[in-house]
Parts: sequence; structure tokens; C-alpha cells
Amino acid sequence: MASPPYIAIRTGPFTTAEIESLVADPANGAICSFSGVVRNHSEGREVIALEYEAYVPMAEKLMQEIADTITREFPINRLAMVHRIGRMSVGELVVVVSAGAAHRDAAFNAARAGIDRLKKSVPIWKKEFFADGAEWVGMTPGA
Amino acid sequence: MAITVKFFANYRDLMGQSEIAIDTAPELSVADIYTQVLGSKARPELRRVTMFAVNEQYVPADTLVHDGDRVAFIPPVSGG
Repeated sequence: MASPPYIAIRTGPFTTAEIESLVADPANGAICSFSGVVRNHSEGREVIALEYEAYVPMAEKLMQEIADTITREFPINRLAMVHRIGRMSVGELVVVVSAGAAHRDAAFNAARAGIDRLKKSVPIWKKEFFADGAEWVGMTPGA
Repeated sequence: MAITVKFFANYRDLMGQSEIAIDTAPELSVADIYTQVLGSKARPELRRVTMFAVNEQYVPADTLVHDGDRVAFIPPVSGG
């Protein structure tokens, strides 16, 4: 029987180990985590910092729906999804999706589905800061 | 009819604020509200890729708004 998922949007830093500990379960044989970090470049330009903004109540609601669906869809014990908002520097952790399951296939698949679905629909936005300006990401139609 | 319109990311920069309270006529869709609120600041290339939310839920552009609704213009998301 799977535990309810843990989801959160946070304004301060966290670690992958901390989020992984939330999916601990004696029935786990595998824990798989995706960690998203701030990259130092975007389309050939040097990125100095990133700022993430969310429509927090809507983002939390959608993350909850995504996590509930994944928990029903894959044979996992628990899923955790945490996204940070605010300004971050290169190398800082932005998002972690951890899945604990009896076997590795379900853990890999659930973690993958979590980050893919979060990126597709959850109302969170990234602004990239360059040496010569800043812009919101995602303005390419169909991207 | 009193509604709240919320702006995020590109829209917050464009409008210079994060939300406004407006009084509108009844029987307006979220797309009508968009046209009314953006006015001369409307940018077709941004409108084409914008989704709408009412009360924290994605809705089609022709959804009618009701008194007390929270309407949000959602530019392309880029979390993760």
C-alpha cells in the first residue's frame, strides 16, 4: 500500500538526500531521484543566475494531482516532488523528484514521469539572467 | 461583477504589478477579460502561447467568469 505523496514549493534550499529520506520505506528495494540544478549556459549564452516564480496555490494543486496519478499508475511506495522558487546561482538545486519502490523499473519510471509532467503543466516560470540582460524562458511557440 | 486578475512572469513585467481587482460586465469570457485588461499592451505572439486559469484550474479561453473569480494568464511554463 503506497503512502500519500509529498509535494512542496519551497523558498529556501534543500538537498536531494533530504527529499530522498521522505520516501524511505522498509518495503523499498530502490530509490530513484531526479535532481535539477542551475546550469551556467543557455543556448550559447552564459547564465549568471536564475529566478523561479510560481503561481503557488495552483502549482501545488497540480503537483498534488500529478503525484497522486503517478502513485496510482506505478507500483511505488512513495513519491516526493519539491520545487524551489526565488533567485538561485549556478549549481544550486532547483527541483527534486524521488520515488521509492520495491523494484528499480517502477522507481525510474515514476521519477521520470514526475519531472516530465511537472515541466509540462505546472505554473512555474524561469527567468534567466545574462551579463547583458534577463528574459523569461519558454516564449518559443510550441516549446 | 468583481474579479481578480493575476499576472505572472512575462505578464507581471508587462503590467508592472502582480494582480488587479476589476469590475466587469457579466457574461464575459476569460479571453474577453484578457483583451480588456491588456488593452494596448497586448502582444499577439504572447497571446498565442498563453493559457488561462480560473480559480487555480486551467480552462478554455471561452470560459465565462463569475463574480469573485480569480483569473490568471499563464505564459508558457518553464519549471524544472
